Amino acid sequence: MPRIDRDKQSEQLSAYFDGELNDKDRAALEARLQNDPSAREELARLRETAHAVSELPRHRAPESLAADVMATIERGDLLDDAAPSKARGWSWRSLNALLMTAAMIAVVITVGLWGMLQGEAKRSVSVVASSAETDGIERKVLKPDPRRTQTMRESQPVEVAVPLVVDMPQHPLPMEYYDETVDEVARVALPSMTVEVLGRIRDGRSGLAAGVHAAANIHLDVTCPNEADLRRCADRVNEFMFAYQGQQRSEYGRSTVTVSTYGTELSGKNDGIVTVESSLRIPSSRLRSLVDALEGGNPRQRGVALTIGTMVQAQGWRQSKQLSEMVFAQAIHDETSPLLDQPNSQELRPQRPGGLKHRTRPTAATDLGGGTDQRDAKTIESKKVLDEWLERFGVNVPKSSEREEETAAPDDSVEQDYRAAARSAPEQLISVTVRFRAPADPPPLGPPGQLVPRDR
Amino acid sequence: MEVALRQDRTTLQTDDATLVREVQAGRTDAFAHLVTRYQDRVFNACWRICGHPDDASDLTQEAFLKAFSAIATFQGKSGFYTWLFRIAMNLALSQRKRVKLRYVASLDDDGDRSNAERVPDRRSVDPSDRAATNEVRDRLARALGELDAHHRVVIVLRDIEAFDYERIAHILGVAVGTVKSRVFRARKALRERMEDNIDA
Repeated sequence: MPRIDRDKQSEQLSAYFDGELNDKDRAALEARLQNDPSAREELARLRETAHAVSELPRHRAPESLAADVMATIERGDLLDDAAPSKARGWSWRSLNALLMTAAMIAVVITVGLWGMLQGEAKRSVSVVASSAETDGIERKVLKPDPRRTQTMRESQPVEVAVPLVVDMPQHPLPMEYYDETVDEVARVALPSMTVEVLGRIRDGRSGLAAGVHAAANIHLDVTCPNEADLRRCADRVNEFMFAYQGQQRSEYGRSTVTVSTYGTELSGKNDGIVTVESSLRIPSSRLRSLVDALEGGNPRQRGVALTIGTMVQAQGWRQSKQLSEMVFAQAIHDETSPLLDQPNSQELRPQRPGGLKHRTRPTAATDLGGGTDQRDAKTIESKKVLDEWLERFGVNVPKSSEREEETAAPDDSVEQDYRAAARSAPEQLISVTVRFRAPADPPPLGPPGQLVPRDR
Repeated sequence: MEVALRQDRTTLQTDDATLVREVQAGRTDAFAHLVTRYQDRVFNACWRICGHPDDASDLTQEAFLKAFSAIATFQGKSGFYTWLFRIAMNLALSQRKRVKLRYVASLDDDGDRSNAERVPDRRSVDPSDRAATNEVRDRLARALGELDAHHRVVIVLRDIEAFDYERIAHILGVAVGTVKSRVFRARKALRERMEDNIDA
């Protein structure tokens, strides 16, 4: 009997065993079973296998699982969309995410383009996060890291290291997995980019910082209701691709961003691969302003800016949420600075719905309803951090008296303003999906706490 | 206390559709009963598919959170459990694509015996027979782990979760005919793997 027929008969036997044959087929098969010992034998084997599988032990969910799920729901800290009651339409959370994204992009662009505007040939930006844990949510303040200062030639990519701080409360790892004294665990050169992975211990928790050193393989998944916007965005992405890779990868309406990152303990299982899949939605007007801004820089800076912009947009990845918060905090903080008020960077200012004038960096103190003194202390700290940044960048900071007076809004009114703006926001949204994908040929596994550099 | 207990008993008897409607109406705590009701089954299925308890725990949590997020869109055309499984299986399959190196270690360790609710072996009380049963069980678990992810999923859905073909088709978003052929091929591959392992 030909194999195809044999397989077909066996398939019928399997369906018969599962009670999935119709009356006619069942009758035919039962007739065959009476006369065909091999069919009976095969049916017995099927029964044996299926029975054995059904007898495998049943694993029970961890006792804390239900409580964890409900705690996440009650915190409103869902992975993707809002809770059912908020499933339709805008919410403060979604708006906040949009604003975060816009602010992040603005900071990234500012950093990238500022160098061009200043005409400086050498530039290096390094970021290290410090944290002050309060309510379980780490608030970040960006600080320049003097250990990471490097000088690069103009012909090399602008080096911008963005920390990806990973908090894994559900995957506490043994402390010996980390070497606190070693900051840079490995710098892994991938075919498309360089990823720097840093191992750290913060407050007894695991942490990982990754910085993108070169822009490449940017593949945006953009769905935009406005074809002109989409085309324009795709054109810009293609330009970046051409500048970096000499290849065009984006397509109108359908493309992806591919960034590979290696980490060891990210999953707690030492599999050596980190994969992220995330998505977010940004208003089309913000994408337009992003594209407008990007048109002003040189290709390399634009590419770096876009890469980091997409990196920090990985909000669907739970661990990168902190990074988003951190960059957002810095973005808002930067709005208090003259950086965005310089004539050539005016266009980079993120357009906030409702023309909000809020300029206070959110801190643990403000979020917890801390007093004015605490906020002042935080503001002073933030200004100090910013000054360090500006000094590092070589920015000539005008005196505060020369700046436009800030109109600080009370924190508790900001959310209301955002909500009001959200309700009235007429903008259509563009959804952007960022996928971080592990390469097909991962490096060999290394011991805990170390990465195995890839051959360059 | 008595009232609360009575309420709990009532809730335990409440069908899924009623609980779903309550969640949709904003009674978040009703969702807790759905989680409690199905967490073990989802968790076990995820473990059998991804092969690791931590992954299974993550997947199960994520499945429930996604279900909660999307419950406003749930229209009850399929049962809640089927819908939940569809979410969980999609997550598990996509997770399997992402992490391929993780499976092997966990299936032949003690996890299958230590954390599992053992199915009583009614056929034998002889320790040597029990050891043999455990060996078969381990070999089977290992063979299951070596299957293609899609085959493993149908085995789990059919032979562990006892879904019929139509519901499996709904969960996986494929035709019933595809399920039929996939179940057959998966069983065949599983048996071959087990026989290979015996030979090895």
